[in-house]
Amino acid sequence: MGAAAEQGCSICIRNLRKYLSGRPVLRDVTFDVPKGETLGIVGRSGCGKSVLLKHVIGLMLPDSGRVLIDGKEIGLMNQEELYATRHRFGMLFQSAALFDSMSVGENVALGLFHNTDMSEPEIIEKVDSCLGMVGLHGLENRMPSELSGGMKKRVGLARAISMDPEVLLFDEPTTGLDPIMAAVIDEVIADLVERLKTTAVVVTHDMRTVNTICHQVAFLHRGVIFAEGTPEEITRSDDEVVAQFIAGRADGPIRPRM
Amino acid sequence: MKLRKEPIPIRVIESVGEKVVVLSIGIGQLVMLVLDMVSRLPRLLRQPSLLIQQMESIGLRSLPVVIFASLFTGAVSAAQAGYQMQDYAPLSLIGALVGKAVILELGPVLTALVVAGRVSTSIAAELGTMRVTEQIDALETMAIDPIWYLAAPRFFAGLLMMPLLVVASTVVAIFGGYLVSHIMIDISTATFFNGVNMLFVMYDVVINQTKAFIFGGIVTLSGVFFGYRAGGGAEGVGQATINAVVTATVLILVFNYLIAEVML
Repeated sequence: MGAAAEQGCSICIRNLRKYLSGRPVLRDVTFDVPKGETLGIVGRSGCGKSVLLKHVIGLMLPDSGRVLIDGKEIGLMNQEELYATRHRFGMLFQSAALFDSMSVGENVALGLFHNTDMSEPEIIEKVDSCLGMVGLHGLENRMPSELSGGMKKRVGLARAISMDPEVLLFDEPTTGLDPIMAAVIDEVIADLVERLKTTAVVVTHDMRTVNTICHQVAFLHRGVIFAEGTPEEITRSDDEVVAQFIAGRADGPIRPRM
Repeated sequence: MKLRKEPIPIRVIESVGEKVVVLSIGIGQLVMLVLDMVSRLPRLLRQPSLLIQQMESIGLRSLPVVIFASLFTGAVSAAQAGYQMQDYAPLSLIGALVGKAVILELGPVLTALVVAGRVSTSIAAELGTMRVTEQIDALETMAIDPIWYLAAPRFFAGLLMMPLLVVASTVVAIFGGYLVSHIMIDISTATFFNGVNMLFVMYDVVINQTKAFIFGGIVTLSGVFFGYRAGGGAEGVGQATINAVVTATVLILVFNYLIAEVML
């Protein structure tokens, strides 16, 4: 792909390769996420989805290959450029990763306090607005230990959107939640992405999440993007590997590691 | 999996070589961490609230246990001195002995060991938990530099507060020695403090504060280093905590000797 095409996409991953503890986790991963699109990355547990997401925001650097954000290679940025890029990102972690020594309000306010010139009343108003968007209005003073798993994810979401990001990254947003709470989180994410007009990458193995919020899906298998398409195309795929994953069958070409 | 075992000398060389490589990498990472923290000092001083918060947590909150330990250390050193000297030397020298021992050795070393038990472990456990629960990654994604936000305030708070804790410890330990000398051995106040004054030289205070400054760095750096690179869940945090306190304790004793060799 030429430089012009790379400039036109928000996130471009090119020939990414990563070894962890001597084992190849990502062998040759290439994909694009155009501006305003939501890409779902699906695959089996332990196939490297979260590792891939960490490369997108520069928490991990590739052994070879490139990660380009609006045409700029993240591995070549100095700390100032990297942090300036991260200002444009919001990330929801699988465990929510809330700061457990801080209240809900302080968690959401932290980025605003350190990275903006907003006054305290403006920050309080913004925190209130973000918590309102995820349906947690008025919980500013609760501590993370007092929240359920679903509430923690929603606080994580409120924190991720507090800086008005252009790109949102979601790492297993519904894992560990009951089906009803998972559906609530899916709806909140779909609503946020639509309202904020953000580009998004969602790592998940929950096909309902993919069908609810993603425009495109990439199926990560054995360290490469094995299949790509719209959620409908992936769901209707007649490839045996993809079909086994979608149907959630134990028997098929993918042999579960016991 | 290796099925054929190498001869014993080869295995020994491999094992030693592997440990040397791991140690060299660790030392390199430690040096890089210190340089990273030093580079964040100007910003830390411009926004001192993080530093002040850690100075309170590391310094002020360690004060009660340091005072308690120092009081009894001074007391036992006077009791020991009295017992050892009773048949061989005038008891009026107890003050001199207690003063010299406390200022040069017991004050800095004991305070550092007590603070290592409290602070190195606490820092390693806190940062280790933040590492394994992705809270440090979360800070990174929010464009908040974790070295500036978490590591540097703790390290510099240790460097700044340990000398003050050692001053408090030294004063309280001498007072503890005085109490025992006065009450149990029946030495007058004037005799005890004349003894302290007799062998006192200002250079002892320089040694006392040099040790305190270096030990302050060792205590917090051990906690920050092992906590920051913890991995592997709860077990990893536990291991980081053990490594932090063991390393701090060993380094305090080693550097105590080195400083004595260099400065005495």
